Amino acid sequence: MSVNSLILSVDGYFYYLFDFINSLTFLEFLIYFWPFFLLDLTRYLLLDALVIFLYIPRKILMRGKMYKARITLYKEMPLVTFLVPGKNEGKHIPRLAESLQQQTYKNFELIVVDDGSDDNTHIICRQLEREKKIDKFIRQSMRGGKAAAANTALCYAKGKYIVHIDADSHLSDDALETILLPFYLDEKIGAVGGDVRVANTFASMATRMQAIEYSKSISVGRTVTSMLGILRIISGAHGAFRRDILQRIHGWDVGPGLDGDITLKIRKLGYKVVHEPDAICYTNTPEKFSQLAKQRFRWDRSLVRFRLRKHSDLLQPSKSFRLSNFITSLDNIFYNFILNFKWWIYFLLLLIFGADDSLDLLLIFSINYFFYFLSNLLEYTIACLLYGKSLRRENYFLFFYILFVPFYTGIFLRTVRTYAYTMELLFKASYYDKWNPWKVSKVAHRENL
Amino acid sequence: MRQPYLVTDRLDEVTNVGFALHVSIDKIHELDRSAQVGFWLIEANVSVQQAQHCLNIIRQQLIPNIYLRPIVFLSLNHESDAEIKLSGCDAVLYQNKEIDTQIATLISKFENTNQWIDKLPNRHQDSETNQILRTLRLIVSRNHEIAPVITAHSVSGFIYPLLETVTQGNDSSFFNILDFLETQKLIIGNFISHCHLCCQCHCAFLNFKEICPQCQSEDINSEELIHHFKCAHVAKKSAFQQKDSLYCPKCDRELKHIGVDYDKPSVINHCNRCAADFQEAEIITECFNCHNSAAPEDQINRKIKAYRATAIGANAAMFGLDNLFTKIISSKVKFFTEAQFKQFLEIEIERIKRYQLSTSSLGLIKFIDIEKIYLQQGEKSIHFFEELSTIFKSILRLSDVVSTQDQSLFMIILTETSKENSLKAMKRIIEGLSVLLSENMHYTGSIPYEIEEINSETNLDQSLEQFVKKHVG
Repeated sequence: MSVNSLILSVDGYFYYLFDFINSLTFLEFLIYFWPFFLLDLTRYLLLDALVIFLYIPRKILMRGKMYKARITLYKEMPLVTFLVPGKNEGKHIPRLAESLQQQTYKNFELIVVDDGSDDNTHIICRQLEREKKIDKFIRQSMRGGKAAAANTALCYAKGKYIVHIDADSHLSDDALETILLPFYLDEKIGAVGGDVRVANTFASMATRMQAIEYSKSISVGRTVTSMLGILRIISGAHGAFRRDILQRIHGWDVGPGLDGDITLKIRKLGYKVVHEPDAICYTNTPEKFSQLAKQRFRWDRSLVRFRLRKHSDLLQPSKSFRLSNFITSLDNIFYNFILNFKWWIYFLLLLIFGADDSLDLLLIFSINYFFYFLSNLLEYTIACLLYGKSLRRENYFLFFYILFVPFYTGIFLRTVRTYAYTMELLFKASYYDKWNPWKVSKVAHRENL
Repeated sequence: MRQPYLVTDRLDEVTNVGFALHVSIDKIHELDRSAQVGFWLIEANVSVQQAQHCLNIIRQQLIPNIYLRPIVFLSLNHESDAEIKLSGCDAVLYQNKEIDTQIATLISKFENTNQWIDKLPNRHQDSETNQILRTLRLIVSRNHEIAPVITAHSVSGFIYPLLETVTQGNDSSFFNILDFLETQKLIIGNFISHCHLCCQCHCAFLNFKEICPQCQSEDINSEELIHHFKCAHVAKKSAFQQKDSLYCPKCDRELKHIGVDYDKPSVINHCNRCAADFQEAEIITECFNCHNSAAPEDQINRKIKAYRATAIGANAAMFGLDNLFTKIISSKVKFFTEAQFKQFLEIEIERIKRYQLSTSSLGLIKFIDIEKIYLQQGEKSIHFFEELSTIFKSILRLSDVVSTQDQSLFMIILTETSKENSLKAMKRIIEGLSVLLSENMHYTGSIPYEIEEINSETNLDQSLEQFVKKHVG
């Protein structure tokens, strides 16, 4: 039976599907669907479920400690500095400044650094500075890159804690207070990642997909890795740091991927990094798949550049060796880098040994799709449970779009990621990224940074 | 044949300089009307200031035939030329050169001016008090562009030497006169320069200072920021400085080539008083004269121009200024001449006397000097007069008869209005005028007025005399 005739008959398709499943032994089932059962199901769905179901009661039990931490915070009332570096972000700054005015914790300063904008950013920001809506605005007429802009702001920050946020994001009213609480629960905490959610969820199909992805990978994923002590990234869009630690490591290094880089630098000093899912930041995500592909191409290359190259020492035995850092790096490299390639091997193996004809391939693909759909459905349900009170109405509507997520993550993101890894491994493509000014990239390339 | 007249307050020395025609500064207004004055000559050898004093006295005379005539300084050499240039004299006569030739040249040079002065009606009358007219006449009589001279000797930074003496150094009045003449299209200005003047005292000597936006301190330093490309470190230059070299405090590498391994993306100011760091310092200006501090945008940004008279200006200078106020007020309220007003009053007196049925009243109001308004308000005078006219129009009726004397004394016949009702109307006018004057000119004095019932004994001249005696003094 050809594939075409099968498609014409839905009944026939399901007949063959069930027939195929019934014909499989347990071993054959595992052989056909090992990536899902052995890797993705265990690492993501089961682990997430387990940890989150531990996290939620723990959170309830921690209420008393959180209350005490909040009291200590308000008793101390430390100054907090918001750092907002960016190029041509002027149009977002008034809204950001406005949203910060709504914060429940008021003792903060806002420093905006204009990294060589060529639009009217400096006019907007200077006006906001005069109106005291920005505490300090620094215009750098020459673009130096995001890390340099953040370091300029750090140079003038006076706060005990530094919160790095993106200009095109806005915070929930209690985000600042919530992101500071972990510092008062454990003094070994050096940095806290805030939760990042999609602000423009219903702008396009791309943003809907990202909204589901963010809830899984950031809200749930980072809460889980944080619980396990292997959190590897604090998002640049929303992260809080102790200023003394940032000054000790002299701020950010040349990007791209500077947020993951600085997280590892803090971990290397022996400090803990945690994720706080209740400190919410809403950010605008790319609305077109082409823009998204560019963004991910940049993000994904940093895994090779920073994990495999710059911070490869985390995997080697040394005086400063820490098991948690080792696992953090290994988890990242294994699940993101190595297993990314497993799919292509899996497809290849299926083509060579597994499937007798195209019908079998279609059936295997369909079953895989169903498994991943189910897995995403459960993961997204876990995310919704985690969100609790902060769950929005739009989160329910996203359930309808989970059907498309296996396509998005399994094909679209995987293709971009594979391309990014390959380009970085073979050509060090990140050094030619326009995200950094050429003068900086040239030096970084020369110095092999 | 016109001749130079030596003007001096030291008549005993006159003979020494060899000029036959001379006049004492005290007696200049008594000079024979038939005297053919080519120019006034003032000896400036001993002291330019003394000569300047003499010049000022001449320019402040009320007789056009005297104050308008060209003035020449007599000098031995060029040593005092810079000072003389600012004095407002029309030319300099050098004693050490061919003096007769110079005099002939000057007489010929000033001939047009003198001829123009000779044509002035009432040029011998001792009544030229209007500063606006005097300024206009000086401009027109010289028949050339009156250009400003930049100088540190005047608080406004620029002077128009010929015209300065009219307002006796009061710069704000002087600029207001020029503005007024220009808005009336009597003179036309060609742009020369911009000048920031103190909003309080019109002084051009302003100190522009950068200050801390937080504590307003002037004690600020600025320092460059350095960005090291390799490690993205950014800090003040002093943090990188080690003797004569720059070393990155983050990665210990030496910074060698600007643009290759580092750059200077911006400059940051630091306040030594409050320790604030900021990029944009506030600018404040402080007046050297009155010490008033203000933001630059709050100071007066004045266009400095060179002026020449228009054809209308030349006509106005010859035959007197068309009374602007009367012109404006006439557009809203019907104004009668003094003679017409007298006729109306006589008719009203006769009418009341004959029929003895109705009561009318005569009102008198003394308004402040119109010229003060011109001097203070400058080009805004027009709006001021328009508002003033509106007050009159809103209270007076079409049947009322209004006239003015000297533009500041108003006479009103309020027909078919009792003294009591007239008093009410008059009070409403006074209230309106008081508000207008206090808001625009900060004038808080009282505005004198009188109301009398019109009857057979009413005599306008007598009433006016008593009113003036009682209220003006």
